Amino acid sequence: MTYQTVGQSVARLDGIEKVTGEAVFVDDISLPGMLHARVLRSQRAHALITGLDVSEAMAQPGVVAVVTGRGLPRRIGACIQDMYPMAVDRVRYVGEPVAVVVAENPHQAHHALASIKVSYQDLAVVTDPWEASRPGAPQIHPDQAVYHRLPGIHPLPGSNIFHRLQVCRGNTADAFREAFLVVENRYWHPSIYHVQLEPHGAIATYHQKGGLTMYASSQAPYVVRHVICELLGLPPGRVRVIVPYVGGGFGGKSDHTIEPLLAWVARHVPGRPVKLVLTREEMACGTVIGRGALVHYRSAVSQDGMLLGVEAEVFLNGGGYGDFAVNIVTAAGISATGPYQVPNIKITAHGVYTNTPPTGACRGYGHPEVHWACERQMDIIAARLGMSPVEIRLKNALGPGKVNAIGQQMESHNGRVDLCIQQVVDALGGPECFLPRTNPCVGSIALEPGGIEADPLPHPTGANASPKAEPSGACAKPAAMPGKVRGKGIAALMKCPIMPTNAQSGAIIKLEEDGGVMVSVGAIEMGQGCHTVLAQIAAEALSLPLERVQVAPQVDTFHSPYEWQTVASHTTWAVGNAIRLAAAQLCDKITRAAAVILQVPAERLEVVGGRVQDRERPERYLTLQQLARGYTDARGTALSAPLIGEGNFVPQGLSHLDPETGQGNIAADWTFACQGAEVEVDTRTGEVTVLRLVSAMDVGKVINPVLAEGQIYGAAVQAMGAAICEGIVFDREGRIRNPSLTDYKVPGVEDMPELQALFVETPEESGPYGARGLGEHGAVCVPPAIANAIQQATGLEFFDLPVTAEKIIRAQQKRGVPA
Amino acid sequence: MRMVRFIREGGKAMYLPDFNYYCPHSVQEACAILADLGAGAKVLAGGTDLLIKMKHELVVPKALVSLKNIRSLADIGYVEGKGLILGARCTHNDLVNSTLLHQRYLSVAEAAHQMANNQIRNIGTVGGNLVNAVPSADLPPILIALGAQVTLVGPGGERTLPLEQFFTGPGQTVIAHDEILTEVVIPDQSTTGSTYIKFGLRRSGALAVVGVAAAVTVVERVIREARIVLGAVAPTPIRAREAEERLVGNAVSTELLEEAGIRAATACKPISDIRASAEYRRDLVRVLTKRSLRRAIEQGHV
Amino acid sequence: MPEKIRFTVNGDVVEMAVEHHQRLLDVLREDLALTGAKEGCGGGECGACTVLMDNEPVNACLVLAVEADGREIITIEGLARENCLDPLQEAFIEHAALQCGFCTPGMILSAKALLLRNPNPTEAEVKEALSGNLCRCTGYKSIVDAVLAAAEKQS
Repeated sequence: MTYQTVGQSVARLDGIEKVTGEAVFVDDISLPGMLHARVLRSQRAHALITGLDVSEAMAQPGVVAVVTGRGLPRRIGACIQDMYPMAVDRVRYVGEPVAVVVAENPHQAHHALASIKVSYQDLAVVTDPWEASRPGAPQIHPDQAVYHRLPGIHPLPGSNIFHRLQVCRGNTADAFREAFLVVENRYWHPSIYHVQLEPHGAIATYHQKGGLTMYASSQAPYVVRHVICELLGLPPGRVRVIVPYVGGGFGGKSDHTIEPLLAWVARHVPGRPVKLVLTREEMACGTVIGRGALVHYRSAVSQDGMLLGVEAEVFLNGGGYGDFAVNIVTAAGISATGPYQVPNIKITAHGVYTNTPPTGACRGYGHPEVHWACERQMDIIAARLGMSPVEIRLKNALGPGKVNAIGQQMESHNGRVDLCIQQVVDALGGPECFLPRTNPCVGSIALEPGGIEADPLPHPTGANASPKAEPSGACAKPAAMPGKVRGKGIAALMKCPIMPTNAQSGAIIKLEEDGGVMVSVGAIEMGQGCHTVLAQIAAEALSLPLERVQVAPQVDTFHSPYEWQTVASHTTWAVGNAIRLAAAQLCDKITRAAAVILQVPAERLEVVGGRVQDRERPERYLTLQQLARGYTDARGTALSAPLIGEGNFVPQGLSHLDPETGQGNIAADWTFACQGAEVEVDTRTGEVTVLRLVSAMDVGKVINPVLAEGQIYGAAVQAMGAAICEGIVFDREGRIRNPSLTDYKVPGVEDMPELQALFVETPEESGPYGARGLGEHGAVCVPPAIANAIQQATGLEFFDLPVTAEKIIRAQQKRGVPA
Repeated sequence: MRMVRFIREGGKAMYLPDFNYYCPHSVQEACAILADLGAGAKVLAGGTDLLIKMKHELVVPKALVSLKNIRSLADIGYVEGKGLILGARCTHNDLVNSTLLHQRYLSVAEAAHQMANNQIRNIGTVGGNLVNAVPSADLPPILIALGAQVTLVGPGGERTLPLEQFFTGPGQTVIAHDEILTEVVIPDQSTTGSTYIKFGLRRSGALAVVGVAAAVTVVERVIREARIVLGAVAPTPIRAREAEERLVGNAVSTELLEEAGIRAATACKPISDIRASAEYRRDLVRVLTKRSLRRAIEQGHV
Repeated sequence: MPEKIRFTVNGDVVEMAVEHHQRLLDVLREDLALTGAKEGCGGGECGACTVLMDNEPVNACLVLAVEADGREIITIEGLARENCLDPLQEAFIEHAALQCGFCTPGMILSAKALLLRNPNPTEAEVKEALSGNLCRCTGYKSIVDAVLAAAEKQS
């Protein structure tokens, strides 16, 4: 199939605005009479509020209002209504909003916070999800039984478990009894921050006639609107949510975060806009965090390396409120066996309340947590069997005709993990590069002439150049520098979007008076390039050159079509489908209008290259320009009306999972991929340098290769951070010890490895032009690929992320290797 | 619940507490202002540390006395018989790009190069880095290893002391509130090599988990003189004297450097914090002491 | 007490009164409506507020406005001249070296300072020059490619 625009690396539509500084983000907006809000946050992780006195704060200069949770009408939530937008009588994590000062400027608001008096009665604190799931743990939501929740959510009343998903197939007891080898380990993926460069922000005006307008840095304006409507008892038509450019989301701006809080605050100062923009330090506790999961993983394997059974228990940290984490639990549960066919499965995934900030969506949610376990486990099994980590993966890989954990048979259009694995293996130098090596730490330290041991120097800075990865795919050679060892590792993945079974996406295509089109969608451009890709789909579907297609950059719930939210890597797929439906409807309207004007049967007309023409006599045509505002004949009589196409899409055939067995289908599509890493480890300091990250993905038809590569590179470097340096540290009182970018280090440009993205393009039957989503996938199995490479380099097994330099030195010392 | 007061006053966003601002044209004038205003006044050099402290209200100065207009403090020069002089208001990038340092003490330029990031290096100053007295600061170890002196000027006159005696604790030095650190002098010396090795948790823009500086005099592969200074492992930068003593008078060998590393690790008193445990810092001191000695011995002032 | 300052912003001489506690970032964004410089962390860690001061990149969140007196400031708004994009801006678009766009103004200005100083940088020099600018979207690869391409095109 050849396409005109689809498959081309066209330049981003938002490029010029973003390189000139013209692109407007929430904090760039200033409204007349605008007030500023600052939040007093709980310094206690778990306590009853016994007193709250704001009178002194009210008397501070510039202060207009001080808002507390008293009087809040109801709990909110999209899945479980388990939270108030700010604390009412109890706090459940450090950072939970207790009071909000609204003042003429942020400085005054900030300074008045110190005058608010709060007294607490402390309760026992628990921040670890496994501990919190044990009997006798402090109860964080004693009344969770009465919370309103959606179907398909299974809490365990009387515990901190707000959702439990079971996935059962076959009989694991038999599988483990008959197994040649049983491997059992516990894996930990700590909580992390998203670190979107743009902090969360919003501006809200409560209108004196009732109703609210909000500018928000959000991936989910329709979720935000729904929650605000419920909270304030307003009809959807009275709540307008507008989303300007969003400076990075990664899931952290999905669902709702600060918006209901600000709506409640704005309710108290009707007629005046209130702006709230979080500081970087507040981002640590004032929104949602990601991940935070313990996975207890047990595999039964035959002598020839076939997976016979998997038993896994996942304990996902939900934090103080579980609403955002329900779907993460589900994703973890159904993905815990990775991209492999396993005949006997027993997986239980628990979402657990703890006293940390709430866990929310974070690039690939549920999948990175369980792939960390599954893909480390595969390497450990391979080593125990003396088998290659490549071979064991290929042997067990899902593929056409095979059945995944929730009982879905893979079709040929679902894609090929085996091809992805082979591409990564080839790129990194062939299958023999991944074989285990023995004791590589010793023996590679050479002596320099002169008798001084050639100990490596730390990374050079600046002009001395950073260490460069070997450009060739040559097999793992001894490290370039003595005292350093190198290794290679791979990990494979299966990813699916977890969404409501009726997740909606809409598109409106308006024919403009110049014969071009304006496309409106509810999907948010947060950097991923969706508006460019959607424009390409629209151009292709309408046979228009791309420059005739515009996508409205701001989403506005007053006139943008409905969209569930911009998450789950589903935009290209779902909104792309909606655009194709809208384009088809517009073409239909064009041909029907032209049929009347040209006196040709509509079925003989086609829309091509900006014209509607007679297939049999192409010289008989109208330009789209002639039709846009209604065609008028020579006498001035209008023969047609202006033309707008609309398309609405919901995924087909999804249903809730069976509550006992977890069987069913809640995933609209499946995507397979493989990622590989080459690392260098300084055996004396433990410092890890990631030299290369290679990703191969079967994402179906790639609509825009350069943007697709950009998604994969960005995701891979983000996940590299989770692999070797990122992780939120809580103290025993539940306080975060690393809230700033000084203490929470994300990869910088000098940490960047050589990056490579490869595509396998098995067309997806349900996707526009055969496309699947790909935004999150590059973040899913980089940590296990890196840890597997570290294992090959050093012989050390790691089960806890991040694998820091210090952990490597500790592990070496424990093993008795002198550092 | 709502409590509302109606106030309409203009005003734009402000993020820092308010203060008075002075920008005198001479050191004497600056000292006089500081003496006059008392302890509530602070010297503003680059401000990269001070503004962050003010933002978090760790410091709430009543006045800032800017060194912006005292141009004489921004020079790097060499004075015969005195040594190499670094003006206190030189930025880190001034050091990075200084031809004089490249000729004589590349190690100092390289240490400056490893600090923070390019933007901060364009603003942050030598004097600020020293007076702030952060235990993990990158300049003090190499400057102490090279025997640097600092000049402090106050209303009563000027005094000079070894940088090694300048620090008294985290954020604390011997400087009086009305004194200004005006220059750092690296005296002429016979050392044959010096270097600073920093270990951070990221390639750039990370604080030192451990920093080790070494300066040595080696004649025919025998160590005649050695100074080892450790950063981020004690309340102030510290000399590893036991390690130095072990080196002096001995021929260079792997075992000798290894032993010096072990002695340095034993002597330091690191703490455990968010960046590293005390034990790991000790391991790093051992490894980096050896590496820095080797580099100073083999490669000169780098 | 407002202090009068006089400085150059994107080629224009600006005389204005600023409060002592206003940061250069506040004055640019709020008084001069130059919102291209962003506040990502307020602590000199992320580089989103990078502007050029006398052709060198600085964090506008760590510079007091009064300290900018007499200096020459260039913000992202001052880079394109007479509707003609700077070669770096063109290269960023061409190489898809931007995603969400929040780090982009600072990133481009750090690169601009490098190319002013060093028109033919090596890859390592490009990385060093950008090391004070965090990007969470791109993985940096396309950004480094874009800066190298712009340098090549200029020379």
